[in-house]
Amino acid sequence: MDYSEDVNIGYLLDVFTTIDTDSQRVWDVCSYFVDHLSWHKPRLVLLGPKIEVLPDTHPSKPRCLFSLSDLYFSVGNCLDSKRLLIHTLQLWREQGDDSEVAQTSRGLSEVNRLLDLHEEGIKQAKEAFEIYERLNDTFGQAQSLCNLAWLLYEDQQLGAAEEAALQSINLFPVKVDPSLACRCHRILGKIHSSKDVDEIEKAIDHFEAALGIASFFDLPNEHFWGHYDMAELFFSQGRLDDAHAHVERAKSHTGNDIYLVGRAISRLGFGMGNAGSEKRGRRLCVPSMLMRRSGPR
Amino acid sequence: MDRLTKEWERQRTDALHTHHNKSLTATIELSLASPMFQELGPDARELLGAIAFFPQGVCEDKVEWLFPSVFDGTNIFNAFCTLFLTYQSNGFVTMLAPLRDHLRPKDPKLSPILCTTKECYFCRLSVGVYPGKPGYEEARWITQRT
Repeated sequence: MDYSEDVNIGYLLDVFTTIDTDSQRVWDVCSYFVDHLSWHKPRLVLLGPKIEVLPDTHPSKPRCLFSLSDLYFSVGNCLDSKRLLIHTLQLWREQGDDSEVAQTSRGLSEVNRLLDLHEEGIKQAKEAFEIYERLNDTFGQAQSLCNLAWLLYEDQQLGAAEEAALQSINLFPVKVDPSLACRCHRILGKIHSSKDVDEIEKAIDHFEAALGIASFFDLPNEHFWGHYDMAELFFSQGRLDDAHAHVERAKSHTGNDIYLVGRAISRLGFGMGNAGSEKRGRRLCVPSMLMRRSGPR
Repeated sequence: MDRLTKEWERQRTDALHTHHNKSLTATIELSLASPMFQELGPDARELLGAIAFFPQGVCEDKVEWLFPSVFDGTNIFNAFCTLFLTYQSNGFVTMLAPLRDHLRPKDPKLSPILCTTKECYFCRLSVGVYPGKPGYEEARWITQRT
């Protein structure tokens, strides 16, 4: 049996959302609770169906739906995450809340990236960027551009991806969101890795920049991905010792995250031509954790 | 056995009532009427109700935080264990299912202590969670025992 506070809180909210249905506060707290779970203990909750059947006119519904979609995203259920985000977007549009429309569009663009629906995702990231530009929200613009850069990269539009990533990085100081800065540097590193052998040094510079930020701001997740990206680069260059060293360093930043351990073992097995190890790593990788771990929204 | 299970599902602790007052309910109430329990003060009964309410019981290390209005809460919790009304399990103070069934507040909104506990949880939960931002690491408390 799992002994932790979230079980009690889930029950408390389940009871009070039943007996205190008119209280907006209870539902707002539900949204916060779901956010806590999304980041620290991704698991589905009994509250999910209750949130979905709230009337669309309920003031807390869009916020709760958004949080719930995040939770689905965290457990790897992109389809339900997308379904809820589409519903959330509709509610925010009806309420005329541009800022929330932009945030939801940005969320949708990320889910679509993980569903390999790049064209749709690009459209949504651009829409989010345009709204943030209109609202003069620089940070929102930077976040949308970073999403756009990843989508464009995966859609093989390397030039446009680089432009978006550079524009994003220039829009905000690192300390405002070090994780976002890491993601921008990582995508720039990947873009340079994909371009030409001559650009490998530039790629390394960006990966090292991401690692430097991760180290300075103590971001284990970004640390892991920074080393993972470096390992991928060195594997592609045939520098197996360097690659191996980075996989080992990535492993030291996995904490208790089985998914990350699995990714590291799998990558090492693939790079070293060890099919057994790769398979073992893949088995460890609960697919559910895939996108959350490749970078938060 | 089937019949007994069905009866338990239907009546819960009421199923244990007998004509001669040798019921579980009577036993529990007898314990609660004992001088040792009475000495714990007027909040003790409601405090037991709060423990009964939560499926995991109450985290031992959070007694003072969750019950700020109760004087000397930790000692009262210890006394519950001494009286075998509760027991400790994995960092939580909890109780056996029949006791929970009997002591859990019938209407949680009418229990001031439980409502205070609810507010404690609600206040602590009402913070944004985003990696790298203040409050992100602190939010891990929901997954921890202590």
